[in-house]
Parts: sequence; C-alpha cells; structure tokens
Amino acid sequence: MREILLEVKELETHFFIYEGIVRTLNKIDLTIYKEETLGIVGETGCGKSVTALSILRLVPSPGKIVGGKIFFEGQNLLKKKKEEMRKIRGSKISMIFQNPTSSLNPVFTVGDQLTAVIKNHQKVSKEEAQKRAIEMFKQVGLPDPRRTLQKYPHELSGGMQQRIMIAAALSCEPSLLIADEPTTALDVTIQAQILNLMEGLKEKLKTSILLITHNLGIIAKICDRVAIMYAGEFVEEASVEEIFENPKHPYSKGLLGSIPKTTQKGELKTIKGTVCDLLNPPSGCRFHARCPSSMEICQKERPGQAKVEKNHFVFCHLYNS
Amino acid sequence: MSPLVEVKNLRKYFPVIRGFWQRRKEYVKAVEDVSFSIQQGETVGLVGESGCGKTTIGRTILRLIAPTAGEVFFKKRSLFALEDEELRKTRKMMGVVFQDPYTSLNPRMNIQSIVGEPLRTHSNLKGLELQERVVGLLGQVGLKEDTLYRYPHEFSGGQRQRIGIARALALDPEFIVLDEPTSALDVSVQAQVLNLIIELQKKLNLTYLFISHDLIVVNYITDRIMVMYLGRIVETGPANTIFNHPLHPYAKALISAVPIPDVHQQRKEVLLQGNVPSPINVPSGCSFHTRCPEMKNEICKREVPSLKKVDEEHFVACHLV
Repeated sequence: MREILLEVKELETHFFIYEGIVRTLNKIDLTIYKEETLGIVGETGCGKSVTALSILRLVPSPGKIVGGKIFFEGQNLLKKKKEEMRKIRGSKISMIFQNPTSSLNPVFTVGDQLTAVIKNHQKVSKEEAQKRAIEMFKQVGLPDPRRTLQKYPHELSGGMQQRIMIAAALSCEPSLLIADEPTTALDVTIQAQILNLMEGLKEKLKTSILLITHNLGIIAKICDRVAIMYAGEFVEEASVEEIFENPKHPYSKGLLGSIPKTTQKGELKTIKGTVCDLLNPPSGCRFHARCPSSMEICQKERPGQAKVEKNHFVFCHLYNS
Repeated sequence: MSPLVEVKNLRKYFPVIRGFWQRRKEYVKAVEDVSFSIQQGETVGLVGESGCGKTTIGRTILRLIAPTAGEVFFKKRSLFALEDEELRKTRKMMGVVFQDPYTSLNPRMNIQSIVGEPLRTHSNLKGLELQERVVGLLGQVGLKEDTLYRYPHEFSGGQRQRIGIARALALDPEFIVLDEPTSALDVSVQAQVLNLIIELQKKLNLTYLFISHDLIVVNYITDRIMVMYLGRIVETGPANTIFNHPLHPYAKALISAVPIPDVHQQRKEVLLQGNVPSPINVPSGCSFHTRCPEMKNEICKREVPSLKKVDEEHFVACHLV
C-alpha cells in the first residue's frame, strides 16, 4: 500500500454571507498519496479552489472552516497555531495560482520575491539564497537566470511568470504542491511547456501534486488519480483510466459526454438544468434534480461511498446496494 | 458557385506611438496579407494563439474596424466601398456573437431591449409586434417568455450567451461571426451552446466563421480550419485533415500541444521553444522560423512562404512542404 501524505476528513467550509450560509464544502473526504498526481475536476463554483485554500487554511473571509480534520504527515493542520501554519506554507505545502500576473508582486523584482521565500524558510545567507534562486531558475528552464532575477514581473510573459511561480513554490522542496488551474491563463503551446515542466520536476523532487482544473484533457495527460466534484461534494474518485473508460456516477458520465470528441461528430450529450444553488442546496444527493436515473431515495438521503472496484469509489445510491 | 464571403489580401495595422515625445511610430501587424473565402452554409474555424489576429479578422470582415488594406466581398459586393445606407442594409445580413457574455450585454438594458435593439434600428416593428418577434427569438435559443423584463445579471453565463445568440439572429442574418462563443463557459454548458449553434445552422441555413483557440471544439464544429500565426494563415484545410495530419510545423506543434481528454489517445507532443515574437517586430521571411523545430534552409529567413496547394482544399504556407 502506498503511503498517505495528506488526508482530509469530513471537511466543512462555509461562507457566511448576508443572504445566509453557503455550504461550499459539505463534509468532504480526500486522500493524497506520496508521489502521486491527484486531479480535482469540476465546474465553476463547485468548491475546487476552496478545497485547496482550506488545506492551506487560507480561506478568505467570510469563509470559515467549520468542521473536519486535515492530516498532513500525521498531524492535524486545523489544530496548528498561525505561526506553525506559516512555516508549513511554502516549505512543506506550496501553491501555484491560476493567474501568475496577479500572484506576483509588481513592485519587487522576481529575484527578491524568490529569495524571500527561501530566506523565510531556510537559515541561509543572502548570497546562498541568491545562488539557490539561480539554481531554481535553471531548473524551471528560464533563459539567462542571472538577468531574469533582476527583472520585474511585467517584463516577463505569462508563461515565464508561471515558471517563476513554480520556481518559488518548489524552492523549498515541498512534499505537496497544490496547483490551482496553473495553465488556464496560458496558450496551448505554453501550457504544454508548463505541464511538461511540472511533470519533470515532480519526478525529480518526489513531490505530490494536487492539480485543480476544469480541463479534462489536462487530467488525462498528467494525473494518476482523479476526483470529480459537484456542488461542494466529491461524486467519484478513481484512477484516470477508470474515470475515462468506466465512469459510474451520472454526473461524471454527463461531464465526460459533454466534451466534443475528436473522432466522431454528432450531437453532444448535455446535463439538463443548471448547477444547484449552494445557498439552498437540494436535500439528499445534490445532483438528484438533474440526474437522469434519479430515484426516490436520492431526494432524501445523501449517498454514502460505494466501492465499485479497487480504488474506484462513487457516491451514488445506484451503487449502494 | 461564388462564395458568400471573400477576403482578399486583408491587412490591419494598429499604430503604436512610442519613444521620446512620442516621435517613434510603430505598427502592430495584427493581420498581414490574409485571403480566404467562405461558402454558403459552411462553418469555417479560425484558430491560433492569443494575439495572432483572429478577432481582428472577425471584426474587420464585419467592418467594425477599418482595414489598412485589402478587400472583403460579401455576396460579391465590396464591403469597404459601401456608403452608409448601403452598408446598413448589408449589415443586416451579418451577425456577431462575442466572447464574453458578461461584458457584451448592456447591464442597464433588459432582455427585451437587448434582443429588440437590432430590430428597432433596422425594421419598422413596434410595440406588441416587436415583443412577439423577441419572444420568438428567445424561444429559438431555448429561453422562456418570462425572461423579457429581466436584466443580464440575473442570468448564468450559458443563458447570457443564448441571449447574445438571439440578438445576433434578430435580423435573420445569413452569416454570423462567432468570436470564442464558448470559451467563458463550463464544459457541460459549452455542450448545450454548441448543440444550439449546430441546430440553428441546420434550421436557418446559416454560414459561420467560428473563431476559437480551443482546437477540440473547432475540430468538432467546423468543416474547414484555418490556422493563424502572427497575423498570417499558415495552413488551411478540411477539419479532419488539419486536426489529424497537419503539415505546417506550427500547426503540428499547436495541435500536438492540445491535451486530449482520452487516456488512450495521447499524442507525442512537439514542444516549441520560447514565446511568440512581438507582432511589432515580426521576424523576416517565414515569421515562424525563429521557433521552427524543422527549419533547415536559409530561404525560411529570407522569403515569406505563400499558401501552396497540397491537396484538394488543403493549403500550407511553408518552404519545406
């Protein structure tokens, strides 16, 4: 059995807004093993990013983690003090965000920003930190690292900025890298470069990656395991091959069916209706109103986890016999 | 049969004023010597990375922006030679759907005014007649009558794009420019909108120019694809041929970089080095020669390759082919 790196148990994150409580994460469970790439897919607003932010305890106000446990290397992150969390972020768990332009500080050179990360987490001199920064720049394939170090973010293209984000995120050799839509803002050819880079560095540094995306093509390309999310809950979890060949949950089937095929034409399958309102989520299974095979029980009870095959789990009453 | 739209040697340069006391005037060469034609009832896809001039072509064809040089014929009439009154009449036959459904609808107008606006400008419909026509149009795109007096912010992204399509259809156009109509949408919503676009084409005998950076969608929906790089068309041909057997080195790299949502169909990707050069200083000769993995000859640096016929309807602009 592979070693567990991170285990999320019954995590609940709610947003307290004027209109009421938005139950963004509804008691979710998630496990990440060492040296694997786990993909989380789902549509806008399903709670993918909130899951990532909850793991790092960076949920912005008015959001709050209201329940659950997050075990990282055996310790519950939700019990840590602020100071202790700060030490974990960036050194053991680090994150890359969707838009590199807005996640780099425009008034500092990229070199300053990268050495700041290194100096914060490791006891090294300024020169040593500089050296490491240059080393990292080489690893992420930035041309002329010494000069790039002195540049400001606006002087670099989106792809180069994302490389710098990756360099900063990996500079302390974290055991978990959370990548929240790392290539959504980039063009396909640049996207291919970045994905290749992430895969290569993962092998080299033995990091686990939690990749959040809405692009199923990226999932097929680089992930080992996939978890599909719908309206704040996981609906299915399996290896990449299983998800693409043998999806079980009606939502997973709908989602996969709605991607245009490269080999055949013809009408695309769609999921009827729209995503439910998280302020007043439907009772029972949150997907029941849009589900083509909805039953009576679906309206009443939230489905538990059903095991379809080894390492293939689905949360659906159809398989809960 | 003569084509519905014919573009001949179209050029569009945008001036950029720079330097001390704004002395230096440079040009962004957004569209450089582009010629193509679109037959009645056809769906033509225009693909390329951001900044390659896709949108500029779409807008110049509609004469929303004035060209620098070249000609566009719509039903054999030169569009750029038309006087105001004539132009208005011709414009009735052309529609456009914009990329971002959040900014292309006026937030202060209700749905009836938005969809009815082209009718009020171009036809004599008034009062109840106008309303009936708007209800009919909304019905065509799958929206109910009760949406008439609601405002754009009350709708989801998919519904807004439907409103945008209804507005484009208002004057029974023959030709519609779809500028990234689904790139702001989630896959399941994208599937609904794509199905609608295909259905409307069959029903109303429409001709589309489909601009997108998503090659999977373009391959799915179009008959013919044109690949652009730095303002020029580098390859054009039937969708299947381009998607499965591209010939131009850039088209090969672009298409191989698309992550395919299928675990068994992964392709060997051609990784490009570096970034797209600035459209202000376009490289000499073939504009792709600075990044081309297959470049051998000196001729690539000197001469601009023209589109050469390799097969029925399949043209490539490359010295190597």
